[in-house]
Amino acid sequence: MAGVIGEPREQAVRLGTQQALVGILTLPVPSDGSADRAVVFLNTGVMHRVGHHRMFVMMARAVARSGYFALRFDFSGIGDSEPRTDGLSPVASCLADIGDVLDWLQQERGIRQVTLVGLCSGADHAILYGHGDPRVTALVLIDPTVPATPRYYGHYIRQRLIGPSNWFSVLTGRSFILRSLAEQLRHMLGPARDMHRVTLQNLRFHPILEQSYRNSVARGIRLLAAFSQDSTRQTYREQILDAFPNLTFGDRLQLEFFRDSDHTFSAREDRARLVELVLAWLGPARMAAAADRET
Amino acid sequence: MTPFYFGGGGRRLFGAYHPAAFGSEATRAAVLCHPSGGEYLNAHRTMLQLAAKLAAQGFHTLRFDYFGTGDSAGDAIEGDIAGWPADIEAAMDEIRDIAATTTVTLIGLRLGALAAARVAVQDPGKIDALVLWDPIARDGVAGVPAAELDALLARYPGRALMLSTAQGPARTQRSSSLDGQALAGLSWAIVEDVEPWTDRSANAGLVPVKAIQQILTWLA
Repeated sequence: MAGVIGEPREQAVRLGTQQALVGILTLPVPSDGSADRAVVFLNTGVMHRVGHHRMFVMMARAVARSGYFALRFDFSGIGDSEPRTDGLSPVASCLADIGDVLDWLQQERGIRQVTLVGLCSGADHAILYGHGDPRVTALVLIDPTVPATPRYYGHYIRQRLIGPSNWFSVLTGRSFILRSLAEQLRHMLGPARDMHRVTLQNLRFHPILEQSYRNSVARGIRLLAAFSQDSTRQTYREQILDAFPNLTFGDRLQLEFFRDSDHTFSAREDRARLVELVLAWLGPARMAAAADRET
Repeated sequence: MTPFYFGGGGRRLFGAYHPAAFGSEATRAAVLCHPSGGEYLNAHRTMLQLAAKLAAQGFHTLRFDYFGTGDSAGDAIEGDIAGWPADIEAAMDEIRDIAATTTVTLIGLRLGALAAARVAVQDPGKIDALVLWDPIARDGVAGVPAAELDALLARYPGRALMLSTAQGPARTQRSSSLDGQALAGLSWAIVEDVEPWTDRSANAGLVPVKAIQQILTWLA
């Protein structure tokens, strides 16, 4: 229980250039002022900062007990944060918000190294932003967007052939696969690949995604990619490797596949396993700092 | 809006305070009581917009998370519905201190409505108006059997509103909501608010505009 001696305390904060963003900062234990690392949690879609089934609350408190600051905040226009007024596109707005948040952590708490954590669209925002900011040293990507591969289409179609409702979707034009193919045709000729035109759903996003992973590997960012079984976008563990055959992730990437979990890890035991995985992968903040000093 | 923590005794709660609009003549206060679980997540935006509009209408308004939910302290398994009325009372104490008022308008959605009704029974002198929005009616929930609600609400003649929406912000089935016909002497409003749930002027995205307006009009 938060608030008990030895347990992390939480502070409600406003941050960002206009103090327009709302977040919860979980203080590290022990709170002796030595912590200089933070884990920052990014919204999943329009869900506010607590995450599905309070997943991010649970994870933030766990990493704080390992010595990290943890910040859960809402992107502009999501949850309690106010919308931006500068006309940025949704993706560009989210990336700008992350930059503002990292600036705040650096100025207010002296944070030098940050791990970004996101589920689904949050994971996409994490990789899109993280590769370009030297303060980001690690990324936890839970069910990020992974481009389809021939093996993916094989899995997907095999599953879809079984149910009559899927045939109904095909006949009525609501099939995911048909819409995906139509999307490909629509965007194949489009030249624009800037963040003002890209959405996380269209294919203009994929080359940007590949470049983001390439930059991350080049910078030595550690990547933890965890996938659930219940996702329409990836159907097998190694899909991310097949989708980017020109990239060599090496030991920078750890892949995990939760065979029985759904997309939001709705089962409590699945969330607990996910938290344990993230904690083990991050390691205690003091040990991570000591390892950095040795290298 | 000011986010902050309040409460003690091992039940530290997250609150979001929306101050009454500057220049408001009336000094009234309101506490919003969230639904639970997935309904809490789905209704978050609606409750935020309702709070903002209440503040614009002159209410010092407090949204908050129950212990073990949302941003409040406690693990999910530590929180239980039996503790919600005490959390609502703590929120009422907080907003009374902030607004320097003696009474509070209590607005509850779904399971939050049942917990609000429980508090209304215990402390009728502290509540000046009660809004029950799509309350869940299942015997024993929050200690208020559905059959007793009629008598409970009779204590608030002209000061209680039962609001039923065709498709509530919590995206739940209306069939599990209370049958309003059984409640005598109660303001009763049905809002057929299927679409559009948009309020572009407030940049609010999808919210049940008509239902929120119904509450604001009734409280005016």
